[in-house]
Amino acid sequence: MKRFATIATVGATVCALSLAAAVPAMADTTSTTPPPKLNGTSSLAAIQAAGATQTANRITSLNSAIAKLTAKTTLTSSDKATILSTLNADLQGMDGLQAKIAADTTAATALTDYRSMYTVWRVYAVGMRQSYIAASADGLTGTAIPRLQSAATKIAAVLAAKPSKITPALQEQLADMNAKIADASAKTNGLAAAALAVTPAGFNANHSVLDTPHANAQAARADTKAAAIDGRAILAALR
Amino acid sequence: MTVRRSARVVLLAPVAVLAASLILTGCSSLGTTSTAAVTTTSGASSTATAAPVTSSPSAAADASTLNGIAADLNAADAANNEADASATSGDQAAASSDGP
Repeated sequence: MKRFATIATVGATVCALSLAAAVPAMADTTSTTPPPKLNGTSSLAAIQAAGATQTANRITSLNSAIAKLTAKTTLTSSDKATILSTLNADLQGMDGLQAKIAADTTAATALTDYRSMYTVWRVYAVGMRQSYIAASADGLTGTAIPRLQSAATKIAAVLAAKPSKITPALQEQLADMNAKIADASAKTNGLAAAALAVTPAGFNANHSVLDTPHANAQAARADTKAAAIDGRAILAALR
Repeated sequence: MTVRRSARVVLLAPVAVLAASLILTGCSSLGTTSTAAVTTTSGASSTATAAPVTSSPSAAADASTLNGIAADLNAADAANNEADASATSGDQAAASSDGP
């Protein structure tokens, strides 16, 4: 019994370690701890250490995001170009900033450089976030919504050809499906462009500037999922 | 006389048998009927086979349409899942501290 418990414990530990090792590889963000609070009294060495960590986190995250977004087939070519341009510029900026902070010779200069991550660059809060909102929106406008519209059109044709199959429940589901598709279309209209138009300066002026695009993308995804559920229920009834 | 009588029997017997056969079997009309019956049977059989053939394209069209709907829904689901994955990555980025 004791031996079994030992084996179980070892197994659980191995699983936990495997998961712990896997999560960082999948995540786009590596900063699990908040950056240190630095101020005018911080030492040059402390600022340089924090600068090295925070820029390295962003470089890792950007490389991961660039790879993911480059591989996305649902992004429009123009949005992909805009996103990759922004993220690659951020990547170059972080590389340069990392080197500059390491080479700074005064705490004041190093602190100014360090703070530029949170004023000039905004890699996480703007660049990466807006890119993923746009990717989500493009996935809906380019694929999910058109395919749902196609399904709804075919369902309507089947019902028109076979009126005997029409029931109030099916009619209601089809009406709901069409309403959800229409709502998703409205919410994603211009969404990617709106998200990609946000700049670090705009975010500095209004920290909620990406909240509306984020909420619209979220609501549109809920709509397209609900429409797909309606479609599947109707399809099951028609089979 | 015996010879003549025997010859008559020899000649008439096959004729009588043939005639009897024709009468009993009704050869020509039976053959016609039989052929007609075969034709009819064949026709009925052909019609029975044709019915599924006639409805099969319709059933196939229905199945094709329903499969098309299923394919559309599968593609929509895949796009929804991908949009979810993008949203999760975006939320992770937003949750990462970008400082004050």
